Amino acid sequence: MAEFFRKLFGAKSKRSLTNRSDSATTAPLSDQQIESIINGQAAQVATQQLTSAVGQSVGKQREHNEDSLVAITATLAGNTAGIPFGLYVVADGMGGHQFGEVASNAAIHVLAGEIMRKFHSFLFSVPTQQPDDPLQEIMETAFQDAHRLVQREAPGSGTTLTAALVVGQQITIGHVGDSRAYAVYPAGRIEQLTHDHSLVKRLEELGHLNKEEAANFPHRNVLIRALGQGETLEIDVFTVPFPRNGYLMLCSDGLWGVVTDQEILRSISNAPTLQRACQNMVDAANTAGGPDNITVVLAQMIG
Amino acid sequence: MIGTEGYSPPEQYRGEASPLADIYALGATLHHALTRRDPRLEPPFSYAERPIRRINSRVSLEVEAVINNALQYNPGERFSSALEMKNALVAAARKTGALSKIAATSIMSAGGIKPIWAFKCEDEVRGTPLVYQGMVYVGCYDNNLYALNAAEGKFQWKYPTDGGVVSRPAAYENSLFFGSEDKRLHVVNSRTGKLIWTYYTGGPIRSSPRVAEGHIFIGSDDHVLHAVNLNTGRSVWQFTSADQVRSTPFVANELVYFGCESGDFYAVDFHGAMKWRYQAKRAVTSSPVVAGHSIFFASTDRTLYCLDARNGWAVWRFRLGKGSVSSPAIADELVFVGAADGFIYGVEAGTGKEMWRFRTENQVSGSPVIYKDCVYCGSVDGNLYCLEYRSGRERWRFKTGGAITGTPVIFDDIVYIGSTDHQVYALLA
Repeated sequence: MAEFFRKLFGAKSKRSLTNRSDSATTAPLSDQQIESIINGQAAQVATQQLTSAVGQSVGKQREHNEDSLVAITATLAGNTAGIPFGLYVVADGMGGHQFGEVASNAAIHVLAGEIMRKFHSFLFSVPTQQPDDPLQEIMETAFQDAHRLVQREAPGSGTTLTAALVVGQQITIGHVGDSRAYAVYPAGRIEQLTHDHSLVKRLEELGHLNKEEAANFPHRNVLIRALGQGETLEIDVFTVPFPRNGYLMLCSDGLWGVVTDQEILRSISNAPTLQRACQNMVDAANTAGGPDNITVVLAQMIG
Repeated sequence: MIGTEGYSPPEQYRGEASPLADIYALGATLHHALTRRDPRLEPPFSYAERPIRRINSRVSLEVEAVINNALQYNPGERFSSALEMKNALVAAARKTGALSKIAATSIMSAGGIKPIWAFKCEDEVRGTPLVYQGMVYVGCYDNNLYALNAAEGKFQWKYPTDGGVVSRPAAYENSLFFGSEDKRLHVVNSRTGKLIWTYYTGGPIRSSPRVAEGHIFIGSDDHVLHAVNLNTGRSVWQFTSADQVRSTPFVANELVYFGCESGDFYAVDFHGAMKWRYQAKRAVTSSPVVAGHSIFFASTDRTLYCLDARNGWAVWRFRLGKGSVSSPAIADELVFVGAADGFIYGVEAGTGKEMWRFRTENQVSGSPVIYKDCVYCGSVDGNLYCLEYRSGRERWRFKTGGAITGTPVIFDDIVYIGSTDHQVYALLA
């Protein structure tokens, strides 16, 4: 008989169990849980949206701004709808050289113009033909053209040039010098995507300087590779995925040279908007003395 | 009686000579070599009282056990065949690591390696085998699909079609799917080789089937990519491309990717609607492979392509010396592909920069395969090459009697490869 009742009311006793767990105090979701919820949602959103913001300051010790930047965010037409497109470029004209700002300015405009021309029909009309040139070749060619122009227009000068071309969920990066591109992940991790072409970095790699010596090296801003310098220019070109639920960040050494990774992460995570995040970083660099021009670009993929 | 005292098993004294006597003799020889005690000078049949490890402690338990088995007094308790003993020795050597040293020296000295087995079909084997549930399945230009036992290469059954079979079979729940130049997709039982159903396309099939999401995707020379219901064999949809579809479709991101002979490369969704298209300059016979965000394939326009798999934008292209019908393989951010210029290439996946190239003596029409730290690839020069994939350095090669145009398959440390010398080989990886 007892067995019979247990069978009858088995379901009910189970329900009372779940009721009890319902009334338990709710704990806040862990970062992992939040991330899994965000990831789960992202999979359902068909289209993605790219947004960006920039921040720039001449700094507290320089009179001229030798940094230049480009930030263009759009979507591409094509055989699939709404492919996110972004072109972000940071250039830092070489301090001490005569035409530092001319060089950085010329470089970004030639580069951006070259790349935008390739994408023109996908941005501003309905394309009749398929995209042909690979993204890495577009980047390489644009860098070489910018290099030749800087040599011609501002002889003796040079500039760093770091460009990120976002098409869909991938970033194709072109890079010369010591401006940087970073992937910033939501879990609070920051990864440098580019490799500095600076004397100090090279000496550190060769084992002549340790981390501490490198930090105090007197010629920290001496580059071993720069746009506009030397006959042939070797450019780093590579493609990486856009950081999932994270950010792409480009900046000049006016930011990364004086603000730590932790401060950068804090500036981004504490800011309600991308624009405020950029401003926070510029402020942090100026608070730290603002010894150089400061430029930062932040891009985020939503969805 | 004929035989050497000490090496001959007890039954031989009774006049029974069988292969099992040879196993005993081999065990005795091994015992002699490892203990340095000549059995002729020891009491007859005294091996049980003289365990190897008591005399030579450097011998492993595993090897001792193998030899003890061979030296059993009763023939019925020994290994039943030389192959069984060999397998036991190989297993013991693999477990103790002895094999790596032996293999390295024997290759260096002999300059060649012996196949574990070889099986001769009646015509050229140009396609790629499949290993499934202990069997090797391979198509042949004698119109048959062969089923061989993977361990010994023993013939199990063959299934005849009305055309050459270059298509690599795909397996799903005891069914085998493969195309034939008789225009049909054939489905047979993997155990018996009995026909389940066939599906007619409008042209010879050189593409291989891909099973995904309850469907079979296969290309045909009728210019169509066919999506066929796995169970009923009915057409679900057909996507008509610009030319013959000889590349094998790849399924990822809920898209089906394939190339065709006009050079058009397609991404089609599961309803048969085109998502994007990319135009190579010449034929895409090579079968694509997706890794991360990118899709890789080669073309006879002398290019290895890397496209964004979601939207078809080219990320980079790598210039080959000649055209290629080889399908790329990926490992550790490296892409490997062969080309008609005779080279096998190793290219960085992120940048499209060459890491190494390896010269073979003729066109490389087959495709590379990665296993552990090596890339395996056949060449029309008849060799199967095993190269370290990080450096492209040759580890060994195996010469067959004809061109290799298929792709090796590796399972459980054994490489299976077909050749146009009509044979299928099994080699130790």
